[in-house]
Amino acid sequence: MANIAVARIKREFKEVVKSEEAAKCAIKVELVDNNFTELRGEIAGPPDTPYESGTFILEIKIPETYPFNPPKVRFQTKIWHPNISSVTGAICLDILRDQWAAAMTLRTVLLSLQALLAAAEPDDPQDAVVARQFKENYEIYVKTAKHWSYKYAGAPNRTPELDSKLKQLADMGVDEHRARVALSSCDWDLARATETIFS
Amino acid sequence: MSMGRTMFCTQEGPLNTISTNRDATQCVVAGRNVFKIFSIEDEEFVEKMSLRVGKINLNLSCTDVVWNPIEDHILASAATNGAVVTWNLQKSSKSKQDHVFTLHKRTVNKVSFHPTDVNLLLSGSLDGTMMLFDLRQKEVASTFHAGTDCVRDVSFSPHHYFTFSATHDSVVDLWDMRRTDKCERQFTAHNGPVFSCDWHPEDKRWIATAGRDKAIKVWDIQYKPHLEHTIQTIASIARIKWRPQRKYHIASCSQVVDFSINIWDVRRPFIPFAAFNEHKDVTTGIAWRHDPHNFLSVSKDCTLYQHLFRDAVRPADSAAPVGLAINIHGDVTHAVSNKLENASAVKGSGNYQSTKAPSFFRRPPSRSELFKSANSQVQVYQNAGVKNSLSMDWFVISAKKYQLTGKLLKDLCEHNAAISEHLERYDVAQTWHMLKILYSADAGQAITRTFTMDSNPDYSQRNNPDKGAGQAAAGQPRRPRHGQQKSRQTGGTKPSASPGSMSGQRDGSPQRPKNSGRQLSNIASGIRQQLTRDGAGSTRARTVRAAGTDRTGPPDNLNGSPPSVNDESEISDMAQDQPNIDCKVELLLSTNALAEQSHLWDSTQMVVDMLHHFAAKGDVQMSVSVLIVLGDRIRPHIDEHTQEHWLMSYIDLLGRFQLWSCTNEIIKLSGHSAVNCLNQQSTTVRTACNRCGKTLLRSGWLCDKCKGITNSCSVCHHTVRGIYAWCQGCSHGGHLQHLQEWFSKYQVCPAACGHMCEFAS
Repeated sequence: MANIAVARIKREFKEVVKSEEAAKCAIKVELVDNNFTELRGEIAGPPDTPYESGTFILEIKIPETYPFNPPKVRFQTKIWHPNISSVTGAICLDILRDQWAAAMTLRTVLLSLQALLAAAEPDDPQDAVVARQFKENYEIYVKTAKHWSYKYAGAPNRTPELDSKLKQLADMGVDEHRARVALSSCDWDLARATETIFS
Repeated sequence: MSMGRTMFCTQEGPLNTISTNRDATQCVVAGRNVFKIFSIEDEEFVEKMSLRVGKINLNLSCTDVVWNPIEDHILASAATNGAVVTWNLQKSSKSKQDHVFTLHKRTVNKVSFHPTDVNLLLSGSLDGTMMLFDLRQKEVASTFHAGTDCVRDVSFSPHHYFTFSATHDSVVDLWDMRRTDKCERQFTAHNGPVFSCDWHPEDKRWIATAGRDKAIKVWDIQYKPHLEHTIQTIASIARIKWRPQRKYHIASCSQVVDFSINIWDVRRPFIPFAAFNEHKDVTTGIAWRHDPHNFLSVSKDCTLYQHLFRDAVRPADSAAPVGLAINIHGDVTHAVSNKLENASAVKGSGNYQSTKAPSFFRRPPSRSELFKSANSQVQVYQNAGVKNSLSMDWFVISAKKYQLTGKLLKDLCEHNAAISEHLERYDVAQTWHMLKILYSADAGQAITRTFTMDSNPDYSQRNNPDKGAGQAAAGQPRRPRHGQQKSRQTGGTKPSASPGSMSGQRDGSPQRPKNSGRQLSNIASGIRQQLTRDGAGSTRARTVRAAGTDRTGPPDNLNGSPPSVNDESEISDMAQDQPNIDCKVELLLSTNALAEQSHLWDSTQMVVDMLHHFAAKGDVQMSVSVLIVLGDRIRPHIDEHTQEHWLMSYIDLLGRFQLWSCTNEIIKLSGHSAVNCLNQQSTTVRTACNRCGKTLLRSGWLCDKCKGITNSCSVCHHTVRGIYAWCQGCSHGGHLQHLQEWFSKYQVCPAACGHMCEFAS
């Protein structure tokens, strides 16, 4: 890897570790391999959002051409968010694409992602299903996102009514995650979800 | 007028102070090594007594001395060690020292006797206190505290028994000597220490102050102190003294720089009314002899002077009563006194009016010194005409368009000639053409030239009048090109003028090349004059022609613009020869054969003369341009200093027209070390810390003040130790290489400021 990339990542890694946000456990980063090409990031779900108190794991890959190209970041934790793919975890965020600037660091990227969780952009979606739900049925979106956060990100807020619907599908022998995706996509309409699964 | 004369006597050391006795027939002077009493006679100073005798501490310098204004045998002095000493001249012992008060802790700056009470003596010291001594009791009567400020001057009011003034740093205190706790009034008078104050001897309301802020101020202190007059001086003022019997006059001497004693009229604060320039070092003390025309002064130059007013310098007399200036655009500004405009009115009116006149009519200063400030007016005349004789457009255009390097000499000359022609400066154009012929044919015509020279060493063509005339005629048809109609005919009809003068010059053959050179310079000048005149106005040209035709002697009007040749006789020669030589040169320029001719003689001296001529005429641009174009062909023949002078003058001129690029080019091309240096001065630009703004002296990236590293590279986020390249638009930047790499991919700023650093590439 180019010298400049390693040098920068080392510095940025330290910056995150020493940062104020890290001290508040809002962001965190750790090494996956020893040559700073791959890192594991963690962000806390921002307060007053469906993602509150959840811990979201990020996969960060530093390209050879860093900092001329942005780091490749993906959510490892499954998340229900208009700008993040619920299937792959791919993120739609301008600064990770064409708006990347060399002035940004790991810390600012992590904080930007945290901000993205708090302020979704349904008009520029990565996950069209979530975005539609966000715009058309916001309450259900909130519930769904809470449910996902509880399930995958370890958030404390349970959503009992959704759990019961999920259980009904699970009782039909459907895989739990598949059932959750189907129900979430169908605005927790049990009949429509059943139809999608079995058709 | 009073008795006596301007006279001086030299002492063995610098003098600090002077005081006169009651009737001003004697004076006491004091300094570090001197303490003497002189009697002032009509013709000289006679030493009466030296007070530096006995067991006086020799280490201390006397800062001030004062003679008792009532009792002629009592004196008081102040010393740098804080001692205040009284002297009694009636003592029978050798030492006249009466009593020593050693109560001040630091230098005593000033002592002052009460004007009416013989026993009261006041002192002011650097320790911030003033003490009032009662000489009868030989003890301190009262002590006044001026706070922390040092007391610079103390002085009893001549009008009020109890009042005295004291000056400190920037303020003046007015004390009542019955109250020791607090001064009666205080006002801020100056910006900086007030070194001197002087009560007006007649006007009870006025007090003058002076200080380090180079100002003398006159205050009306009747009620709330009110500034009446201010005189700005060139140096900080050490002492001031009102002139007796002249209400508005005050004498001042400076502490530094200015050695003269100036007498000011407070109503005219710009030019001293009179000045006395005798002293060779700063004047330290002034004492009037109760007479407005006579005073004494002492100086650090060890002299004691008596000055008489009749020997004064009157600076206003040598000041111009009108001012006139012109700028590069031809605008004229004119300042004139209103009085001068109505000169006749002034002369005709009464006595009071005419007293204002001296400074303007340069009469000797009148006996009455009453005058008041003269009103004057400034008028600015804008240059309305686009093209007039004052216009310097040709200079600017030439400076911008001349090509001085980068091409063959031939092309440069042609280019520059074309530009001059376009500007209707035909003399200059012709000069360029000539230079082209003289210098660019060098190589090609060498052989022919040698041949001509061998076979025809006598320049028969030029010396044969008939042939010259014939050629002149042949050359005529080409002439109208330059609009030289007038001179043509004359040239044809007067062929014999040239040979006469030329044969006179051509006596010894070794001298020939020089003569020829001079001759040609005449030719060049002739052309110039002809052209100039044709350009300027036809009347003068006609005059010249007539003179040439009549051959009645050198026309006077030619002397107005002497050509480069300094010899007067040659000028007149030239004047007579002018018409037909003019044609000859036309011929020189128009025929090919002439190129050969031009090498028959050494043209260098002629070109040198030509350059001198242009410089003398005020067209230093031409001199410098030719100098640069010809370079080493001409350089060795011109004095270094002259070259530098021309270059510097031209650079200065360019600067006035704000033609910085041209200036720079000239500096670059000058080939002169002293001029080249101009480009090397102040080439260091220091960067400043982006946090605290301190200049970075040690390195470009570490700030000594905030112990931090300045802006890092926007791309790699590391310190930039070498070149810091940055966008002029958003100020972000970093390593040159990193930025290059960044902008090969993006157009926006790497620092995410959103700026499109569009010029990046």
